[in-house]
Amino acid sequence: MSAATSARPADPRGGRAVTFGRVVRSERIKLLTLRSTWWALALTLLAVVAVPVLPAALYAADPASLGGALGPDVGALTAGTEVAVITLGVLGVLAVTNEYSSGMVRATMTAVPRRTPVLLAKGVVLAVLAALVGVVGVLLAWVVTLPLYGDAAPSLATATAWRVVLGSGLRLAGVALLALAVGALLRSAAGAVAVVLGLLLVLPGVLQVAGFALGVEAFGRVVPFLPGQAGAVVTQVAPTGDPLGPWTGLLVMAAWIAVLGGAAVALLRSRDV
Amino acid sequence: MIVAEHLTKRYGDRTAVDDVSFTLEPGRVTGFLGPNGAGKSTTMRMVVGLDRPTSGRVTVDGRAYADSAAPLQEVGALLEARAVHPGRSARSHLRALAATHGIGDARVDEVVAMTGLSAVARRRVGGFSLGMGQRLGIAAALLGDPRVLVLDEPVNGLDPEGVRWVRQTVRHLADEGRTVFISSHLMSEMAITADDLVVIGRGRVVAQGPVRDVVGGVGGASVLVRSPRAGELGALLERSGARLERRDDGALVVRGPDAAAVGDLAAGAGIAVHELTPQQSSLEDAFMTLTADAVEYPTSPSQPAGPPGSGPRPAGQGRPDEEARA
Repeated sequence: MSAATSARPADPRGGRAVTFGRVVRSERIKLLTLRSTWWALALTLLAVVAVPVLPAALYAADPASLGGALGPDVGALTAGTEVAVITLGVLGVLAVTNEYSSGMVRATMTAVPRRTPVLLAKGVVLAVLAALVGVVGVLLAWVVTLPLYGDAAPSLATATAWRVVLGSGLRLAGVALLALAVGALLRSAAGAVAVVLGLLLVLPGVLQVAGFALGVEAFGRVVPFLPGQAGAVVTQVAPTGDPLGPWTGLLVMAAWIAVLGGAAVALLRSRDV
Repeated sequence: MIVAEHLTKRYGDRTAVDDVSFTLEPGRVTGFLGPNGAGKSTTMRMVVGLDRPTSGRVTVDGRAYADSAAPLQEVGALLEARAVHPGRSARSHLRALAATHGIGDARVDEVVAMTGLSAVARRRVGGFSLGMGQRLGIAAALLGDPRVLVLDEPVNGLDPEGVRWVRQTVRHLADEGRTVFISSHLMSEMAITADDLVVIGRGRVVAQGPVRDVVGGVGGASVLVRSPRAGELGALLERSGARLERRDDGALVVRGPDAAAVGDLAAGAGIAVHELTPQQSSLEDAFMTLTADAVEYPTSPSQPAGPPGSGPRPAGQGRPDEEARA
């Protein structure tokens, strides 16, 4: 980017050129100056922290409630990220569809007429926010449940524990990016939220049931490769039976994002604003 | 400088902009005049790259707007529809746009002050009146201190004080050497504000040039003559090539020669003249004639361009309270 801009003749009035870093800054200002963003982030954090408290409280009341004799593992701390999938999915969709519903997109694309950097910058800001909220939330959940679990509290001092904690953040970043891509493709909040939540939360169950009812085994075999399932493997302490491991799962999710995001960029460039 | 060459935009089988060409000069205010739906907004959206032309092209200082390294310094645009998220404060909106170019908060506060929004800059835009929204749009257009301003219906929804402010601002910006392209369906506004006109109807340019020439080119300029020997004078005028309209009250409306020529001709023939009044049709008349049936008028400049900015503009014909009938 900087190489491309420095090749141009110097601007006599100070050379305030558009750079990707500046577009990212612009998108950060945009996202953080809307109340809806703070609501979504607060709800996300609340869910990630609060959901694990319930089993911890049950455990504190009766250690046998967990069933196993070994006590809770780190996986008990990431239960709230399943709720975060919904809130961050909505946030990711709104980050782009609210530009179209409000008309802001005309101002945005007039300032950055190349258009593509806008979508990429939104992705950077959303991914960082989602990952941050996910990781911080899970760590807070660990702190909050510490007194409830007592001596049985899961240790964070293992490679697996950190894979789960950081992976939870990456998975949530992926969800936000997927939602952004779908939002950019459809430009309508209602439609995009339906598609995102349908793809992440509804389609897996439908495929399982349909595969079972119709006797088509392939339906069931596809499910682990859906973005929600593939991305969730990294948040499991002991992935079982999945054809995908934690990192290959994240890669499959990244592929979904790349395909949908690529289509969104192509349409963004070719369509009228 | 903005140069549009054979700009055409089709939506399906509807042609919104049809082979539009024009050149906008620095230091001049060019009014873009046409009824609603004539293609003004679409043309302006193509200037800043929001809409892609079906064919033809438009360049800003020789290149496509999107190829500029610092677009907001090339063109500041106020587009007709609101382009602001209602949940954001005016200042945050401007800061976000400024950030794309590394333009600092000092300039943001400057344009906020210039547009008289200081008192409301931290309020959410959703509660703004139409006029405040327009001021915010103009503030955004000024952010990059651009060489070219594209303002789509900037006086829409403004109170008289706001209209005056826009008029003065636009004049001031042009006097600083900037290119100003301002659309309106209000002919009275254009008569006061613009130096040049591009008149558009049904997507086609029906006339362009200095305001005076566009008005004159519609056959508007005429001379009202009263004479006790109107019949003789009329015959004499017709022989000299003038076009005549004989009114019921005996007056003649003469097109072709100016008042001096008519007077000289009458004096030469010894014919007394009781009234000799130059008449200029208003921009409004010109506009109604031009856009009444776009097909009747081919896409060409109405007149050879006169010296830029010379001569009086047809002020006073349009009443400020009279909106377009378009």
